[in-house]
Amino acid sequence: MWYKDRGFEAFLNRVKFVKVVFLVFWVFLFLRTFQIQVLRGFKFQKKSEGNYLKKFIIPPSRGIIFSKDNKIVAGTYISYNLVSQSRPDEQNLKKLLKILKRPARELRRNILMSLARGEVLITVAKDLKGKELIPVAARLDEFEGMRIVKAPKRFYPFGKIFSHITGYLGPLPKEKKLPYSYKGALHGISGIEKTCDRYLFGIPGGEVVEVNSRGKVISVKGSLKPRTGSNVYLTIYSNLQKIAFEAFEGRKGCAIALNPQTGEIYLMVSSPGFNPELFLEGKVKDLITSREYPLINRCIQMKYPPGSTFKIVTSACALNENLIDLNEKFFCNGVFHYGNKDFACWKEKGHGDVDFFKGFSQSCNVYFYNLGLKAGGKKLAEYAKKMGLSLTVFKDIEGELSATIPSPSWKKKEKKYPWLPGDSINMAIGQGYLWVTPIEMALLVSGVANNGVIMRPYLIEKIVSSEGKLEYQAIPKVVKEYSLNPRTFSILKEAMRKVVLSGTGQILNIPDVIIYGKTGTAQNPNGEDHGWFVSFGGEEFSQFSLVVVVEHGGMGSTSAGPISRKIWQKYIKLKKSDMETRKKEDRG
Amino acid sequence: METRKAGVGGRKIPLCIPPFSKGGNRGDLRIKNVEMKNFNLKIILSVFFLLGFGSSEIVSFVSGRALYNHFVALIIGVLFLFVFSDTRYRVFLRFRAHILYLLGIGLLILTLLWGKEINFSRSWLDIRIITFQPSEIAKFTTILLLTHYVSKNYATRQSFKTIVGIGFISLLPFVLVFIQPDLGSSIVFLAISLAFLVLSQNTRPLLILFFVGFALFFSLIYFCFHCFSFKIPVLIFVLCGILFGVFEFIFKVKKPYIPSLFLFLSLNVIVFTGFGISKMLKPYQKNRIMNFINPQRDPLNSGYQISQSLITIGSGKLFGKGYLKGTQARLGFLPGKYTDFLFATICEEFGFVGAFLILIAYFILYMEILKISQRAVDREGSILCFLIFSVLSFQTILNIGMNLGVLPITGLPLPFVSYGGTAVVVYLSMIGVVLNVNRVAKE
Repeated sequence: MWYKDRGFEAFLNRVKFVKVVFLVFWVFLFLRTFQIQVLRGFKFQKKSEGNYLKKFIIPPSRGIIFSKDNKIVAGTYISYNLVSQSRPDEQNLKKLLKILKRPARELRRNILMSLARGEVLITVAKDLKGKELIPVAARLDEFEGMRIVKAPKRFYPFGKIFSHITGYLGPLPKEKKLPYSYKGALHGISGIEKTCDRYLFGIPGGEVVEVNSRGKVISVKGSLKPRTGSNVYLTIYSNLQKIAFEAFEGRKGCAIALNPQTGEIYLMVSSPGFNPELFLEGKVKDLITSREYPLINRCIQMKYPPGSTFKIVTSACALNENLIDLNEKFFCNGVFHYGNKDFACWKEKGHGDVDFFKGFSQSCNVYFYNLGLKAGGKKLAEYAKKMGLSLTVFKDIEGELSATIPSPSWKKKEKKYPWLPGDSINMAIGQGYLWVTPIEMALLVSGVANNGVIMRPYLIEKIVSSEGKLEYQAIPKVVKEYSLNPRTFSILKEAMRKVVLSGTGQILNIPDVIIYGKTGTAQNPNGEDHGWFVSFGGEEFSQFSLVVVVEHGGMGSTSAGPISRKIWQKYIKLKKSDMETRKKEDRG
Repeated sequence: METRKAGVGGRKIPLCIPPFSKGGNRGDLRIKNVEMKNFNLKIILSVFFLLGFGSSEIVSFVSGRALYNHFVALIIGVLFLFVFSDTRYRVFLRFRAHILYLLGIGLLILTLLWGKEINFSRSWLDIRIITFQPSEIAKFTTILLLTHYVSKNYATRQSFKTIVGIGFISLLPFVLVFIQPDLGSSIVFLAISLAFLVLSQNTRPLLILFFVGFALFFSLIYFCFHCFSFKIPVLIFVLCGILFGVFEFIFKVKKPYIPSLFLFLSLNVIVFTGFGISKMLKPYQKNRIMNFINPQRDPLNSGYQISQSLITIGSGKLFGKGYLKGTQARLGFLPGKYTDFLFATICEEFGFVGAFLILIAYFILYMEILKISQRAVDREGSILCFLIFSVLSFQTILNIGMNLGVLPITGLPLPFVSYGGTAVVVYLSMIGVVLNVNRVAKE
């Protein structure tokens, strides 16, 4: 039979050969399985977990920014977003569009944006309102992998009015990373939103869920609730801020008022403003390209020649150094000749004989040209620095610029040219190379009001966590204390009072209120003069000093003056009602 | 037929009445009684282990009608296993093999005409009561006819004529299955004919086959990636010409140009055949080939299967995630979790330990079949076992290799383990035949 066959031996050999081949294959399969499961098992386990475990961030609700009178300046409301765990297909999108009644372009744009940002949850529709929310929520099961999530959204009730204080939100620049951030988070880019971002942001929560291959959530493996950010309380009076902003009527300029005794900033207006909500919607092209630079906080980020307001420094220098006699008179015929140059007074006809008080209150340039010559550039620069210019102590909003204060050594270094008496003449009336920021001017005025004590300016009163714990409390701090002859202060104040009573600043002559002021009209290379008005109050209103600048507004008294008056009136009203309530409380 | 003494535990059983014999006075079937040994326990145990392992997973994935079908197929399959192990295997050979073969071919043709199309391929036949895959049945019938043909022509097994005959018998179902199109199953028919080439000891056609196969495979891959770029084929064309020219010049071949021209032309014929086939392939088939070469190419479709399969197997690690706890398969990341990729599912839930057990069970089973083929009393029995071994082991290697990402995705089920009624019934019948060969085999 078969095993006696000649071919049987050959067959057995073949089978042996096949056995060997089979064995080789089997050993290979064994080794491969071993390699994948044992040697590379950990790597594949990670991948498998990445497949079915998804981590979703629950964004924290951003803290609220309050004004001093407890109005919400920047708040957070809960909006509802429709999100998908995977990119929704066309069929689902069409079905969704029938329910949602939103333009298809908007949804596609949202999806592409989230994909580009690399978010785990792809946002399909943002900010669902009640009418849209209910039908979508009712039919949500038809769309696998989609769900509705709470999305805290920032809103700014005051819009443009507080824009430079609050700043705006936006995604972080790619090179910057914050330890408490997460993908797709919005952070403060400017203003308080930036400085207090760590407090306002809160702690994001999260959810680890098990999903199937279509992205549908099977179960929740673990979750962490988000913690709402801390609330920030400002020192700004919202009604003052509002009045001040509206007083500008869209003109470029800024106003800053602070309490000379504590350094609290009561208002900080920069006009034109911008609506911070536009940044959340991404409609910022106009803001960025605008020639009016609405994004710049003019109070701290813009330098202007101080003009006649600098005469406070010139006077202080001359008085303290005993360079002049108060009754000494100079004759002003409208022009001052020095060397081969003519320096004009603002009044072409001239002021005639001018003594110190007349020169100050009428802001006679010729008088101060003489003072400048007497004092010299070095002394003027010394006093400017002494009295608080170029103090960059305002840290609550980033980006403060420092004043440029020329001096003979400065000119030699920067301009490679020696200091000329003409420079002193120019500097005496706040022109020339002199550039200051409005906040520095406000500090200078406060220093005068406070007899040489400059308090740290601040607008963050306190930060309170969502549980009510006090996380930060501003403490008034002296940043600069300079001593001048007491007589100097009293003469300066008298002169500034005369400005209001009988000089260029009569617009602030409000009955029963003692206000000291100084106007300024600063010539500048860019166009029309800038109008300045600095002022501070006395007696019961001594807690208020104000600086108003109107860019290219012309005369200080006519441009910045009315704005100052409106602000003062509002402040007086506030103060009076405040005092009345206090009296009532005392009686009670 | 000689009568032999019963082995240990042997018993005398009456032979089944062969369905085509009339009283029986022909050939081997005349013998009414033959002593049979017991079942081969190794085969029975390993087959039932695999069936149980596979079913335990399938039960957790399918339900209702599909689960019912699976169990009906299992019961029929086990029934066939015992019936066939009690039926003299020679019943299926001789002229009956021709009838069965034609029946198989007929079913394939019917499938092409009235088959049910699932997943782009028309490979299912629905005859009201049951739906089945004729290609699986054709595997068995082709094996039977080939067994008959080869054992009849065993003496001339190296002759060209026999090889052509083998080629014809296996190529017919191959073509019919290939145009369904079911690439995986059609390759099995090629594997059967390859097994014969191994048996015939005729190495020359084997070498040519390998050469042609490789050249074809690479040209196919090339044209899948570069649809109309002829740069590299032309380069080969020119290089070969130069190479052969130099070769002839150095060795001073007496009849120049003839062998070189032959090689040169054949190479180019192969290259352009590859081009032709690449044009004929369906896009999804092309994708499969391309994704096997580069799984990262298309991570979402076919490449997705390979990478997910690797993740599934790998994440099982040494001891697995536990029964019913496999995240990859249960949460739907793994396609074909209870059919083509059931091996991966088992690996995920039972770890390397589970995979090891499966591989060992297959190893024992296939080695035992080979041993039986060495012990069979006649040529037919030996060749039958050898062929059944080659079909089953080929599919197993292809399927596990596909799961492990070392072989392209062909869509072949894992014998005894994967879900698939027809396959289970046919493979269990094959095992039944093997058991029968064993029962009459010599010690």
